[in-house]
Amino acid sequence: MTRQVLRSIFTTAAVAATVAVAAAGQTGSWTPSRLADGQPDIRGHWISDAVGGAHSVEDGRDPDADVIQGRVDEKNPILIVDPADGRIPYQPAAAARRQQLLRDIFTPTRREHVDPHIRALLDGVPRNNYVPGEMQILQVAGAVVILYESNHSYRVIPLDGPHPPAQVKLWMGDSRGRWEGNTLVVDVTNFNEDTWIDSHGTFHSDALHVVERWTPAGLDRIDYSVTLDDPKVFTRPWKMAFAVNRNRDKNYEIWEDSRHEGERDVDSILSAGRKEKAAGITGVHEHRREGR
Amino acid sequence: MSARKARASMAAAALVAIASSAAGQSLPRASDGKPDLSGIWQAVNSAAWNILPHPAEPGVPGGLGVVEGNEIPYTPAAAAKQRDNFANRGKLDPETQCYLPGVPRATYMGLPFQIVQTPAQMLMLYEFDHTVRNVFMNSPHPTGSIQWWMGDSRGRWDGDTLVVDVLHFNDQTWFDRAGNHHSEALHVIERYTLIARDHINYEATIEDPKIFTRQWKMSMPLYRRLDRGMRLLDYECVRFNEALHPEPADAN
Repeated sequence: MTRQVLRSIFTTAAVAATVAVAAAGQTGSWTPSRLADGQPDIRGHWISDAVGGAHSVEDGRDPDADVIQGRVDEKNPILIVDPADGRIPYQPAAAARRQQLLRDIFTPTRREHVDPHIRALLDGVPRNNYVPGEMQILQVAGAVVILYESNHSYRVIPLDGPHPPAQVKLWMGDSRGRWEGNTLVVDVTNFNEDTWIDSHGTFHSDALHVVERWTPAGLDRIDYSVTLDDPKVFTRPWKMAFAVNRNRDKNYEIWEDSRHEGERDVDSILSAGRKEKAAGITGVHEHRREGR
Repeated sequence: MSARKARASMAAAALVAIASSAAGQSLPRASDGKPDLSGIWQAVNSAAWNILPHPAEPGVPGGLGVVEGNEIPYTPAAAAKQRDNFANRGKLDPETQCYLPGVPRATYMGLPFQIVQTPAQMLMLYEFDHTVRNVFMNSPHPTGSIQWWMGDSRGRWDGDTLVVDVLHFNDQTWFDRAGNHHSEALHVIERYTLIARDHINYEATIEDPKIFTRQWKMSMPLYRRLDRGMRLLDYECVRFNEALHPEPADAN
């Protein structure tokens, strides 16, 4: 456990150095080298700029938790770039369900009130790209593979082939990639409806359609953007964007993160929530980002 | 017994047939000249239930066993523990808790797994519990007291065979649903040999001086999944287990 914390601190330091270098050295577009099969080379260990901002994709980190954990000076980047107001365009019924989830999160009494991430379930796409922990991108002929540190999850992204039949539902969805110039465009469908996009109950249905764009912007930076569409939940597609920076620790190895095996939080969260609710304590989990 | 021997020798003969048919066929090779193990593979046997020979029971297919010599050389205390594990397997089997399955058990759970091959690193991606093994090539195990569910895997090529040395296990995983077990001193040496385009011969040598009186070995063929549109799906055991255990009565 101490080892993991130490590794995280080293990673953060390495990333901070990387960001500074990238900001100083970047002008215009970047042309990555090519692999033998012609794919632009984006291999390596990466960590997203949005880690820590992912408590809520709308409102950023929880300021109370930041004070407790001493993270007041860390970045808390804006993730939603469209719509301009930074709010998710829920349909009215979906907005009501989301508001109920924010009440349930305040005093959780059932498992489905607890963030699937805490329950050690898979994070889905795009959330896996901004939960804490790094990711390694490998490229082989005809495919891009992403190995995530968090909860040992993985995605194999073939560069060809159709999505499976719609009846197939997957926690991480089905990813199919293609290169548009130097940008890896990944089309993701076949989701189930069990993952959340952040810990604020940002939910979706099995009609979720995700399109990711991974554009190398320098040796040590990928500009990432993602469009989410779900005709059962949102009034229109919306978009997030953030930078993904290289972890320049050349000896870094992703080690086992056995999340479920050590999971003891859910029972205590539910026990506390039930006691509070029985005592008449109710409320809404909310904290608005300044200026939004 | 003689019937079993006959079946075993037939299986061996089948394996030889596969191997000799491969002789005239060039094996797929990666750009560095090593055999290309990339793809989606699956064991087709009943080792998930019991790695030793066993008769069929309701819901359990019979099996020839995958252990060479058909015997696991337990110490007397470890043999007693296996009997206790077997008697209480419905409660004690870590699979029922959806824990990471360990090595070599992950190989033969009845679900497919995918090998992603690069010269410096191989990934083994399993459908069960989205289990991952990160196999670092030509690299030493980290030192210190480390206990991981899937151990620490370090690979090298021995001619055309991928050899994976696995250390740093915990004592929580089993070899099968029959309670066959090990301690944290487990050391597994796996050998993956491509014997034809669509067949790997898989061997795992098992050492654990706290549990076994000598090393022993299991082996089985792995078959390439050739299904149309084949891809790994998911088996999120954790979610299935939530559904099996209803909310406590005081909920809502």
